[in-house]
Amino acid sequence: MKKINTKPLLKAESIAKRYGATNALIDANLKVHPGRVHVLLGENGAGKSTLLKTLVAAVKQTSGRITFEGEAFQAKNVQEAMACGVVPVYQHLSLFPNLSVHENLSAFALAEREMQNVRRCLIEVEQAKASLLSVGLSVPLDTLVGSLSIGERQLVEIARAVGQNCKLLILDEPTSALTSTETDKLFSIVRDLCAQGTAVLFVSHKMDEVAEIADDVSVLCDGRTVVDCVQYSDTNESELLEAMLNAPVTSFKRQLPVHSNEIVLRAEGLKVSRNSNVSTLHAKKGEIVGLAGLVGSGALSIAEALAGARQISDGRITINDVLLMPGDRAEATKKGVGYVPGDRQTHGLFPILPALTNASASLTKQLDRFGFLKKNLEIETFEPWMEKLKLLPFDFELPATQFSGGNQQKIIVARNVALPHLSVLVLLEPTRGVDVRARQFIHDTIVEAAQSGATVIIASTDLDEVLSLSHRTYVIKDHCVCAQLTEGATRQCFIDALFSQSERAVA
Amino acid sequence: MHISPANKAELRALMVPGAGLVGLGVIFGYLAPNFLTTGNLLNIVTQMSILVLVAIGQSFVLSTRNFDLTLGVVVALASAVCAIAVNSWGSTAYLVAPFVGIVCGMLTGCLVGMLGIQPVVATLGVLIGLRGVAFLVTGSGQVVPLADRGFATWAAYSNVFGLPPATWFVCGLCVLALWIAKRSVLGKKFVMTGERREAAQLVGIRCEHVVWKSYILAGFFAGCAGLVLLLRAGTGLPSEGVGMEMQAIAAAVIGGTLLSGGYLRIFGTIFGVAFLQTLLTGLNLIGTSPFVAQIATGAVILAAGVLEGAVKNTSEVGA
Amino acid sequence: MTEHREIRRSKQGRLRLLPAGYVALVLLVVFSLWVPRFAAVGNLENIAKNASVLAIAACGQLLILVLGGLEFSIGASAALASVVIVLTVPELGVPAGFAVGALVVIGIAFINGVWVAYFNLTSLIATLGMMIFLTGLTSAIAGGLPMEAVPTKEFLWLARGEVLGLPAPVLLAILSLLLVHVLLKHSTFGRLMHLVGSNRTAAIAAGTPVRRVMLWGFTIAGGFTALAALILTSKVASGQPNLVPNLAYETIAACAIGGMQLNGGKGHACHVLFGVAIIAMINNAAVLLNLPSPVQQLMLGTIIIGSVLAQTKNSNLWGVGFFSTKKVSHAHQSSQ
Repeated sequence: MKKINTKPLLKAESIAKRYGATNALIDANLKVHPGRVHVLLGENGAGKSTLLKTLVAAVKQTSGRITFEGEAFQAKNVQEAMACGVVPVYQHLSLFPNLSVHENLSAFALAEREMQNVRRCLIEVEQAKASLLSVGLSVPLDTLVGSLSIGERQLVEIARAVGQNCKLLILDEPTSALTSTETDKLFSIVRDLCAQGTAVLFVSHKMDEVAEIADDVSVLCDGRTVVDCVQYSDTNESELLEAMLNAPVTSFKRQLPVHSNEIVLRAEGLKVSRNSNVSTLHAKKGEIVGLAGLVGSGALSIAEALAGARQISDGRITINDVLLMPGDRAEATKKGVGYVPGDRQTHGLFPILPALTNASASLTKQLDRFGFLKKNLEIETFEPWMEKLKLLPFDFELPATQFSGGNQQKIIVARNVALPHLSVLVLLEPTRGVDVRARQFIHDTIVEAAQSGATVIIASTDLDEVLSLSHRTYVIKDHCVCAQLTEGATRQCFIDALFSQSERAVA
Repeated sequence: MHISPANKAELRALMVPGAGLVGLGVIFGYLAPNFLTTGNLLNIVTQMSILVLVAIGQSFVLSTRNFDLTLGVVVALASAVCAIAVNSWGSTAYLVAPFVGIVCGMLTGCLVGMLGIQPVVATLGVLIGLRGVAFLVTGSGQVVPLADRGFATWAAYSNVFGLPPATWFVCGLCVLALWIAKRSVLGKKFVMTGERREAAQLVGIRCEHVVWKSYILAGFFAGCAGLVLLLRAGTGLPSEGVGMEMQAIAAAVIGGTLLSGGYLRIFGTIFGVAFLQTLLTGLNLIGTSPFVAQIATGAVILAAGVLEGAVKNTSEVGA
Repeated sequence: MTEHREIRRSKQGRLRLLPAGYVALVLLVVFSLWVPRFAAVGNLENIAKNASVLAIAACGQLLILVLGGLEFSIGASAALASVVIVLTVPELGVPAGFAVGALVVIGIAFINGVWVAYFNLTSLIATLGMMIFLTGLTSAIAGGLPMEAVPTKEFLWLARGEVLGLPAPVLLAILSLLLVHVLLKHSTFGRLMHLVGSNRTAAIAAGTPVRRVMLWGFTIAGGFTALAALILTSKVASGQPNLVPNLAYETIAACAIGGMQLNGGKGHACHVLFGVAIIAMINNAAVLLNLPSPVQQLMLGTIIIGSVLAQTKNSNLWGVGFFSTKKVSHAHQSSQ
């Protein structure tokens, strides 16, 4: 392991940031050394993104100081920060699909010009090619970015950062949309950059990635730095987890309720995309079935199909022997199929509507009496659920956007568990971007739904979540089921199942 | 020859209005023998010159994911103010028309860009206000005849290299618009802002200013359209241009611009206007009433909308 | 528990409406004090009468705006209705003729709904195309000129009749506003419209029959347009291809002045009430003060932008989301 022997490139000391009455950061410290990958860990809401924003001068900290290359960091906005060599690559891709790769690489240069010929403002062809090469991407410069894959786009974005004379590259959860091969490629590029002396700040909450890439680690929890720049070799996963969650990690194991043997959900010859293999799966009454797969494996697509939220290429899905029309959510809801979508913001929430309206969105039929809404019934139905899920702030009239991610997810879960005659509950990434406490409440609710007789399908890329919560887990690869795991399976079982093609049960 | 993917995409978008245009040419050429004559085709070009400028202006605004309902009234106001100015200051005052457009564009753009008011409301407010101004300056909406029509008649009706000078002027403006859209940094900024505003902000583009400039540009083109209107009519017409902003949106949509922003297709817009004008002239030549042409226009807009919906659907499935 | 109950009833949604209401009140007081003859009962009745058509049409527009759309064809479809009515009344009699006119308007709204819901058209394009189409159609039927109707008492009743001492249009406007209020705030369908307008994809995922809601939303809105069209026809007693070319603009303006955010998913009958009241009072005061109509238009434009600016100030113009964060944290604290 390399030793830290240089002075830190960037040093942030006791940073605090207040928004109105809320403290996003209280006491955050960070030291990033040149030529090393520094991983910043933290749950959602721990203040990671706020800290990043202060580093790239997108927001001004309330107190605390940042030094860069030994001097006080003076950048007033993102552009100046980037001119200094602090370049962020964001989670939400910041490229322009309708423009060419070359134009995208030159975006910063273009921003400073106006009524000039574009061609004269674009960066040199040689330079553009060189920066593409440095991330191992070989596409023609005039390719439209819109025609590239997500992984390639991210590489273009990193190439753009590299071309910016980047001293500190900030990657904000870069792997969240990548397949495993793309992730590997990204990691090798990050290592190359480090070898050339660039410092990399890598923000993540995935422990397995940390092990693979980290030289140093810092952990942020509730706005404070709890682990400040420790070499990864000097620490271990459970220590970091403990620090991150601010509580000793108790066993993930949870007592699952007993389920009956009556098969409720059946999918036969299911093909979610045209050239995938067929999968057959079933789920019993009261059973929690996991669909586990890596990102891009198609686990989420299969779950969407089971919820009736997606057209399928072939096959039939039945619930209690009644055929489910694919792609017809209205019909599926009527049959008691609940659906917690994976993308909360676009598929789940009604941003400006109050929490209560959000919660009762699937229940309008039941609340209807001669065309009028039974508003008292609405409150009576959801009050117990919201109490159970500990919605915070407990204000049903507050617009959904004003809740934190975890509480938004609670609202969407409540919407589905409150369905009358809930027979199947399909959840996609039920706790993505959700803080630890909310995660607990949501998991409790899921188990409770199963206990009361619903069949639960959980599709998640969070392996621990699926394995700890399911009676049975289907392993998904290339858009079809490739193996089946029983209760109590471990990570290792999953990996074994993934790499041996034959279908088998692992005890 | 190597065609860049960006140009390929634009060419593909041009296919539909292009094919429509050829189709119309064939149909009317068959139905009306004097349709496919040079004189008539040049006539179409001249006829469409006002709408084409407004539609180009509208395209710039549409590319930043906004729209501008004031353009029709700006055309009228510019023509009226310009006529008054020319009557008192002489021919150099023709330059007032684009200037009026720019001022109006600055106002609207400021409301939408800088103050962040929704384009419907902001441009609607300005529209109603400007209509008042147009009536005010002319004293309850009277037309303003030019005292000396010499220049106007020369510009609009003489023949210089086959077309009237005013039409050449419009052609020049089209080239300018094409240059801005395809070659200038500003054009790229419009697309960037319309497509992903957050991303544009991130790379240091001041989106408020870009939106503002798109409105100014639209105002400039509408002002020029007012000038052409004045030259052709010989009078300032303060109550003209009603609904022209809508036709401009329609032309842009027919030309393959999506209202969701990020598309700046000037060629498409010109094709769209040409299509509408050909339809109008052709129907007129075969002796139908102008109202039938209007009905056909409405139908074409709906068809273009259906096409747009279909395009959006397939791209969603593809993604 | 009791504490919770209190917090839950926080009236955030309702507070938003007030600025426009205050403006309307202030205008009422100011004009009553300074504009001669403004506060006379006859004049106030006159204002209400003149505003009623706009109010009814704006109720329809409000529904479309809640659905997240825009409706530009209402002026053109009202014009077509007037021509159809004038043509059919001599054959069928007044009630049947008016019914045919109403059906035409509702049918057009239904077709708009089909375009938007089932063909994925942007509402702007769909209604714009429809507007141009209908303008042409109406002119073709009428030959481009107004067609006079025989002004029988029956024909004129809708615009000039009285019920219980109230002018019929005013009564109909009040009923429309009440109906829209009940529809949006207390009916199941109104709830569905809010869901669809707020986030269409989420509505699909939640099992809302989105296409049907869009279709019937447009159609119900068409009902209000039809009512406005009938009153207008009765008022002018003629079929005019150029009846109310700016109706769409005026209704959108009324909703905006009334304080509505035009993003969809949110709307209240009070937006229409206050917006229309402000417009009508300004118009009336301008007439009483003998201001030329251009000045009136200038004022109206300024008011639209001014009122919207005033409301942007409350949400996010000055410091991004400052006020909203404050509200969250406030509620947050009180719940603990």
